[in-house]
Amino acid sequence: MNLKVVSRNVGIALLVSALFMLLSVGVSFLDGRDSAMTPLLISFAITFIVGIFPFIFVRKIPRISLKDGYMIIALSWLLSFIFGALPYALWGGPFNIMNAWFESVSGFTATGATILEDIESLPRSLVFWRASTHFIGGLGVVVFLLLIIPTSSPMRLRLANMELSSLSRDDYKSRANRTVYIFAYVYLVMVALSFLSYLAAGMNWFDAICHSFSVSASGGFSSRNLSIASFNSPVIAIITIVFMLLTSIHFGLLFVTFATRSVKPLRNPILRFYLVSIVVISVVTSLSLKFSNMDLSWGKAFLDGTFHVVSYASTTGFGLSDNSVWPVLPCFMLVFVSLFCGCAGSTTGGLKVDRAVVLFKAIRMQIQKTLNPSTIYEMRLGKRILHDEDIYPHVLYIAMFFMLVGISAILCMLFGDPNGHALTGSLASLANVGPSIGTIGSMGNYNAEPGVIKFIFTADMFLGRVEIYPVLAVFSSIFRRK
Amino acid sequence: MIIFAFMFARLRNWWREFRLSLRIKITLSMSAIAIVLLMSSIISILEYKRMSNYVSDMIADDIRNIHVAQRLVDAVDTYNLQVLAVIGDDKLSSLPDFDRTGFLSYCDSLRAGFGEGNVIPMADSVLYAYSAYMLASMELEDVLQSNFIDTRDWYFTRLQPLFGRLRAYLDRLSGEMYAELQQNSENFDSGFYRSIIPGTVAVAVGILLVFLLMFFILAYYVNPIYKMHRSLGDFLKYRHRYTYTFDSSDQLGDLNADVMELTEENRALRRRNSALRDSNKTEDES
Repeated sequence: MNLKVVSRNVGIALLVSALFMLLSVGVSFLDGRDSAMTPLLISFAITFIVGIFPFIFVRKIPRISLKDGYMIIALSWLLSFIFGALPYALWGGPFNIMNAWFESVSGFTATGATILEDIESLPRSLVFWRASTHFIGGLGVVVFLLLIIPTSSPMRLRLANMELSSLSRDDYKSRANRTVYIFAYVYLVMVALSFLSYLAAGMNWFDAICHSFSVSASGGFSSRNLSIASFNSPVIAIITIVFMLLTSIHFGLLFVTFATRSVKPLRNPILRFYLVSIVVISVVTSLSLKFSNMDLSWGKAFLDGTFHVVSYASTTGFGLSDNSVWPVLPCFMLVFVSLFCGCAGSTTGGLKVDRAVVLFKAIRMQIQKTLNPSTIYEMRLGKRILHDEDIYPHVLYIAMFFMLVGISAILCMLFGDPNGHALTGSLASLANVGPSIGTIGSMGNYNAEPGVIKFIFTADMFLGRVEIYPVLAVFSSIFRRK
Repeated sequence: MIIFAFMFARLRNWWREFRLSLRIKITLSMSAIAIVLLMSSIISILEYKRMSNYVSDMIADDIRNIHVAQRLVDAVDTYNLQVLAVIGDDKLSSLPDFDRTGFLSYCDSLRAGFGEGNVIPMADSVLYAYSAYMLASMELEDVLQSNFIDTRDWYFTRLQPLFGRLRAYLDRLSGEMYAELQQNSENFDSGFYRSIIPGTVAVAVGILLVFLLMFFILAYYVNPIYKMHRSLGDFLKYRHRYTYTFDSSDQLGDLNADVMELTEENRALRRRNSALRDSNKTEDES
């Protein structure tokens, strides 16, 4: 490992966190120097010093190897988690070490699972820091780093190839160098638009900024205890549905649609599959809510059903009602949509609907091959012909995803799992959805889970956010014999 | 926007051309470590002071609350014994007196001492039971004056159950207070655990920076000096060319470039010298 290049680039990632800590100090100052000001200031000083330290010695960026690239990605995330937990740990309150770590990992990975029972009792600056972790994590710590690295640097290309989902790179013929900018532009536009929409719908500026960070990152942290339900406004709920849906669509596709002012790119087969699935599952969920014994009006049933389906599919995790009192079928629907989630190239987590399409097509082709062994079939996705080498990594990823859910659930059970959330919690964490069903549902939290189980869930969140391979690559490079 | 972009471009160019000297690099890195260590010590002192105040206040409050609860029990017991004595004597002249203001102020101080939890509801229950007991005990004078009420019967059927209830509530209040004290002690444990975190983190960061500094000094100064020394030795011993270069933007890099230049000049001089010597030899021979 080249420590010079790794330390310098991890330093950049930490400086981004330090910048947002400083902004949170500003919020604290505006809010009458609340109780989180000193913890945030200390955290900023420590993070800034550690981030800037390598710059004293490492001036030029040497060439980056593949191993270094994976190391930069893994360490950037890990150190962001550690330093991001400092404001919580230093502030105290409900945050012991494990809770601070959980909240930090959940924030940076844009999972949105929380241990907090009373968010509104937190100082505003800490709530802002919480939302900022979503903002940083939504775009990806490494994408922030890439925005700073000069465009001509060969390192940029290599890191971009590693950080961005392999599926998102294939589309829209944009080079990796430009992809980073497209991601950043679309992301920032989403933040700005959602902020303005929330303001127009009657939110105050603080709630609007926190929720716009959260919805754009597909995170789910809210500044209110009852999430979106606390606003009691169908307009805000509909705005949230729209932005949750938009942020779960490929950013390149949105960019091309906007740049060409044509709806042609929206005829993408993956997007069509995604939208049709969302509509079908929303209708089934809403109807099952309507015909349950919850005595909901048609409008409320459809709003609740659609909101939660989009919230879980986009891995955002906002809540509009308490789904722990829902019947079994809509709960099952929510768990089902949190498996495949949104499109690749967006801020969503999970397996990605692109992989689901590839998997279904591969299964169909296999059945056809079994029925007609002598026929040669070709698999198409839009205009593109998919070969075995295109399909293989995605099918392998799906297998690995489910294997990890299984391992994580078994580990949780080994450590007791007193609340019976081993499977649903592992799935919600690995898919970066955040809330699941039951007491960890849309209005619940993870506070009752034991420390070890919280740690397992945070490991799942990390693996899910970086799409497993980089972490495995780092581990294998550490333990591999020379 | 244009001004911002212009300023950013200027800043970027300045940063590209900006070079830190060896002295500044060492000073900055050492200062960074010193700041982190200073912060860790300040945090530790502040936390120690906070914990020390917290512990003193907590112990003082606990002692005061236990003392107050004991006084309440004593006051009620003493009054009840006095009532029993009056009933035993059957004399109206020595009616017992109860310090009601003191009792109520003790209850209020208990309520104020505990912000939340079960102590306050229990203190309220004590007050209700106390009111009932006091109302009943006020009947004592009438009971003693009356000819047709049996005083002892009145005590056992009317006053004693109320006393028993008040006493039970006082016992439960003490129990709740001990539970609160236990909770305080547990909070203190977690608070103490938390108070050492900032210092520990700052020290850990300090250690991390020390290791990073060690690595950078080894990578950027010690190893190049060793290699320069070896290359220079090879040049002197075996007349190998001095070709060692390394990535540096400070005086060590300049020094290496100077050494390379000097060795090249030296080589050129030697070559010229030997060429001159050869030409002199040829001239001598001819």
